[in-house]
Amino acid sequence: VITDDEQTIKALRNAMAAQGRDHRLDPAATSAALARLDAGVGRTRHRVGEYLAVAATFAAVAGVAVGVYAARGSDSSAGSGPRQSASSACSAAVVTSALPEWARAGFSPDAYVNPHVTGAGGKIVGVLFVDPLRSPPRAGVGNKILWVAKDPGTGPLVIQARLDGSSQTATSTVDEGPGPSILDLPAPGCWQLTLSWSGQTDSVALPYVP
Amino acid sequence: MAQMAAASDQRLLHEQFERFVNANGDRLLHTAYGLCGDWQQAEDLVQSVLVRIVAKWDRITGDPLGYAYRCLVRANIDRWRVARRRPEVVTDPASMAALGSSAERRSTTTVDSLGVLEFLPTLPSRQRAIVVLRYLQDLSESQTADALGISVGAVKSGASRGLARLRIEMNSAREVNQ
Repeated sequence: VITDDEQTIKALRNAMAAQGRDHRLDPAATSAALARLDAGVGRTRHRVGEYLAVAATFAAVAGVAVGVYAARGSDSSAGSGPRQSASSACSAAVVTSALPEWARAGFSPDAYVNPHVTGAGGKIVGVLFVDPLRSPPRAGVGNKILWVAKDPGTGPLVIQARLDGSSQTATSTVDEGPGPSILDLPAPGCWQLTLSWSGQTDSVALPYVP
Repeated sequence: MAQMAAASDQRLLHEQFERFVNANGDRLLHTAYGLCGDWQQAEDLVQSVLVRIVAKWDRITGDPLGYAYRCLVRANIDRWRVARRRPEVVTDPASMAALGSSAERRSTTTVDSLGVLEFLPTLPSRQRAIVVLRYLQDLSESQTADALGISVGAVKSGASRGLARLRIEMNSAREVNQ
């Protein structure tokens, strides 16, 4: 039985020391923050300030709004259930190679090589912090994706996803536009994503494994 | 020339910021976990706070770590408010059922397997922040007060109540498990 403050504090510290050993900050966190900063370079001072202020409020919604998926599509027709594993063609969409030059802002040279997907139109890149992506996500490991757009604009990024071989759909919104997100989709398989932001559109395929 | 100077400033900012995160990243992550009770959300909190810090890096007066703590506490409160206004919509019951509810996960655990950190979320948010900053991050009473924007007296009383409540929770759980 714990009887005083000293014992309580000691128990807390021991527990944090034990759990903390297994949890270190992802080194890519620095790059991601710098990428957001660099994305604002070239704007007017006012716009940069405005952009970064909005990015700051990204705090609360990062883990919630970004990972929220909305309406499930209409009922699947009989016998056309979603495939439970991503197709090889879909998996091939993820490449581990040097990021396009325009998507390297904020990454140190030794971090240019990352698993990523490139939009069919070449307007956006999704840098995968977790490979492979999983559905459902593993405990404590989110499907974190950094969206880097050639022209990020100022509006939100809307992601409409459709599962291959199924009528299942999901949507997600990154309120602050292309940037870090957690994209947890409701089933494994090959998801076709249509991404829209600031009047621009592009599409990528993302494989999710069980 | 002006462009070269701007690039040099940017490089310096990157280096300083990287050094700061290398030195304090784990500490911030552990603090965020203490505040929100979930490692994944803690990562997101830290990520968003790093975005805020780097944007203001050359305008931060005083200790950047203290500023980071303040941002973390505020970001956690904002996260909680947003979650209350816009709760997640679960659209695939089958996959979510596989994860189990938090209540189910908690009911199958014990004090020993989870550790006392699991009891931090039972505290009101301010008490939890006080306990985390004061005792897990070793901030002084005045530093804790500064980070939370409250008086030193409020820190003292919050810490005392928080520890007492944690002690009750921990002892109760041990009795249940025996």
